[in-house]
Amino acid sequence: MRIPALVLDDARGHFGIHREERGVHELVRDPLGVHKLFFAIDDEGGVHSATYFADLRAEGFAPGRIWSVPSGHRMVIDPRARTLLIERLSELAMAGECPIDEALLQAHAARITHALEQAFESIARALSTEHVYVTLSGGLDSTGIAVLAQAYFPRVAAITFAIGGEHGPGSDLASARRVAKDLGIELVEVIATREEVVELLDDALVWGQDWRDFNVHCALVNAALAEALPEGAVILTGDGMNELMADYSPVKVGARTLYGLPRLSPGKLRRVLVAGLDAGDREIGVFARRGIRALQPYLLCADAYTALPDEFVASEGSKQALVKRVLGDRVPAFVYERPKVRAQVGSSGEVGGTVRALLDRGIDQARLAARFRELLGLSAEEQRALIRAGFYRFPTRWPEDIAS
Amino acid sequence: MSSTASISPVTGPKTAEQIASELERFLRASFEIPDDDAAFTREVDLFGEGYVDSVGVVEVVTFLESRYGVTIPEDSLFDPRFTCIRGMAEIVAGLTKS
Repeated sequence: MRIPALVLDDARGHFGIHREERGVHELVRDPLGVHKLFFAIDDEGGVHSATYFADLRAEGFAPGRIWSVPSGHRMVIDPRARTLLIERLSELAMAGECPIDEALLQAHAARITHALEQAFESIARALSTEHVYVTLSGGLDSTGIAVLAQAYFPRVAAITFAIGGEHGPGSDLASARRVAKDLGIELVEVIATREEVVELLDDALVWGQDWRDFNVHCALVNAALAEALPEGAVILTGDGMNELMADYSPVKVGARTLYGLPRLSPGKLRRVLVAGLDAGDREIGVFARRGIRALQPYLLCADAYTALPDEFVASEGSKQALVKRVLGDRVPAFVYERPKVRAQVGSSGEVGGTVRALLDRGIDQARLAARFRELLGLSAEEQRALIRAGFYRFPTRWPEDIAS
Repeated sequence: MSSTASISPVTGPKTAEQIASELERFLRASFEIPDDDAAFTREVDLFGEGYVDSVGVVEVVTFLESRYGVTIPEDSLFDPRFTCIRGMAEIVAGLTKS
């Protein structure tokens, strides 16, 4: 059944919206779930929504009474009729398995180029600022955003994060400095001690809305950057590209292996990673809490990336091959050659960054999960029910335990 | 990253009992659960007792979808039955009939 739209039938971009008309509530979330949208229904039938799970906890709602609107869905809640209807509004088309040759790759690259240009034009038009920041790790994804930002904004500054002392030749900081110099943009360096990073952990957990180590480690980088930015700043990031290109691999730290991935075919893995953007708020949530507007241009072009065939995405060097055809020598040559480094690891050599800052203090996955429960007042069972397979929990019908 | 071996699909409806049996075998093999683990039953909370984590659940869903030719709706992930072998098997059996 098609649910009558109250307000939104043609929304594009990244959003989480709650509108109410004559007592009927419509909640809609963008196709990738970039923006989070939680809600709870009080005993009188009032529908309360928030970007942050923590805000609804602070309003007094029990964890079991708080749900998410799933990515790409519209929910219509009518408390008087005691109905909750849900429908999928949009779904990313994912390419399947098909061979790719140079001509097809060029065609995909042209589509992605066009999508990125449109995204940046829209961003530039929508923002009332001429000055934007770009998170810059010196890797391919963030450098690509910096290059594009220069074409659309008169004033671009880059901002990068490092742990004090981790400045070696393979470090993100060294690469970010080199990229900034090459592109001729100002670089703001946020250098933190490991102790300062640990002090940000509660913020990363609560406003990053996740306890899974990968997302917490990323959220800590962003929490440190957010502290250094002026309120009201706009920041463009390269986040999301790794999901779109399934560019993830586990990280070895001593005897430990972090960031284990499901044992799936590359095509299936990409689908899981993209769908898993539903849960976790390591960027938008962490920055927004400090009054900073973060935008993820790659994710605004997601359908152009998910149209790439699985075999191509899974092939060695696919991202470099693609970016070369999209941005060419606008990206400095050494960036194409640089080994992949996660911003939270900080270096292509020894593992450092926020990962090391936590692990050296014994803050492992179990401790992160426990601290999240403590901060948000969740039982272990409630926590397990909050995120499953990359999705926040959501209802599909009127919750029968509401007393109205 | 290692990949799972390809999963042979079965056709036609399956009983919940048959699915539970195959799922149990899959879980024991994939998550290295010893045969003499007395706590591992078809009713045990797989997430609560740590047999399957947030990464593993994706592999479980993929196994069930590939083996039985169904699509497990996202909301089924939050079905209270989707915490144990027996409940998962019931959900999948229902999907094979629809």
